[in-house]
Amino acid sequence: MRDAKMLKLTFCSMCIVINILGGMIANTVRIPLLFLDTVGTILSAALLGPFYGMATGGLSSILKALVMNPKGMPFALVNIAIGLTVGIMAKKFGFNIKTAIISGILLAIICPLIGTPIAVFLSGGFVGDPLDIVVAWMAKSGESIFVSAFVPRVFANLIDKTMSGILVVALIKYIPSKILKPLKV
Amino acid sequence: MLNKLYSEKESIVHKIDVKTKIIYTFIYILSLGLINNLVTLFISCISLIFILIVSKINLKKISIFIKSILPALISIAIMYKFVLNKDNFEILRTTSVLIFSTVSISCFVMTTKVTEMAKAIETMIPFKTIIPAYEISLMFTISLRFLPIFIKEYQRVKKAKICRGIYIEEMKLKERIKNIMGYFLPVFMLSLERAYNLAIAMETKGYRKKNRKLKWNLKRLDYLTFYMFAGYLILIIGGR
Repeated sequence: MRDAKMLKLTFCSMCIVINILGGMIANTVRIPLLFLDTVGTILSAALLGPFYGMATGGLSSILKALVMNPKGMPFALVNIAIGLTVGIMAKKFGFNIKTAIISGILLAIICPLIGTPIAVFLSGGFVGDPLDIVVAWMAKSGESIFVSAFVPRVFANLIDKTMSGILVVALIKYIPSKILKPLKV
Repeated sequence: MLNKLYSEKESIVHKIDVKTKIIYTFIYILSLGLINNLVTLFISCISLIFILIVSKINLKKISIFIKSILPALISIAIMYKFVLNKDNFEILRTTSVLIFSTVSISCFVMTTKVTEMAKAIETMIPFKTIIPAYEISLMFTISLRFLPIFIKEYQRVKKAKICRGIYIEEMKLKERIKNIMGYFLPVFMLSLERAYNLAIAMETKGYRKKNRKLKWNLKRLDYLTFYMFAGYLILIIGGR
């Protein structure tokens, strides 16, 4: 293959599809606090860098909203931030199990930082899952609604993003060298 | 399959340019933050109802999206009333913002063809010399093309698992975590193969970046709706 750019484009497109399928797989396996809807974003950012990661993340949210459920559209910014963070991490330190866990921890803070103001604006910080009890309990104990909605999200994201990162490290090992080489890992 | 949410109708909202619709939806959602009394709430509600009537979309479809936010609505009502002791207007305001934003995005989705979206994305991306807008639009189109195939493939994988006696719902948490890879890997390998074959096919056919200049090309209708939308914004700011 001469033109690696073409492969990068098609690979990113498949990563967008993997994001949507990840959400469906999470619905099937039903593990608490595991959403798997950013696996494709992490994968493309880890292999191709921040730009492709950001594009994959943003387009996944738009596509998912247009095809499945529109309620996630305002959170496209969160997905873009995931692509940017993992992309920078992978470019500087490479992407292995160690960086996957570190970027998981970083994302656990960055994602709620962007997602919480949107959630507070749209639904007062409540999303209709069991974590709402923690949000209400913290708000009742005198914390601001932003802090109350932020802290439970950090824990939820910590599990999801770290697991997704580890999953991506495992998936990269299965990529054949004819595809991996042009992608220049 | 992909146009499942899109409802084919002959209406003014369907005819409005996609880019204009994206901007209107975004500003409308932001304007919901200006609601601070019953007047502004009423203005937002009436304008949304007006758009729904004009767009001629099936209200049953909208109700599906409202059902998806029902747990959040119940949660807001219970927590605000009994835990945080907020007043009734605050409950009404927060639930209304959630309903209105969901309905407005649904209205946009249901009046916009997914295929039109790719061109709109390409046109709307600024600084095209730095950001490769064409590539981003192409990525969107390719993923749109392959999504139904992969959803079918995933359903096949799920059925194959069941045929082999793997019932993930009945497994313990530890076993379920171990089984994630079993669901991911077949679809992932297939996606890699597709990406590689498609890249080769595109390269063989001499597929190159098109240097096209996309303009906004707004029609009379877009300007007319702009005045109506500006009127709405003046009303909501005045109502505060």
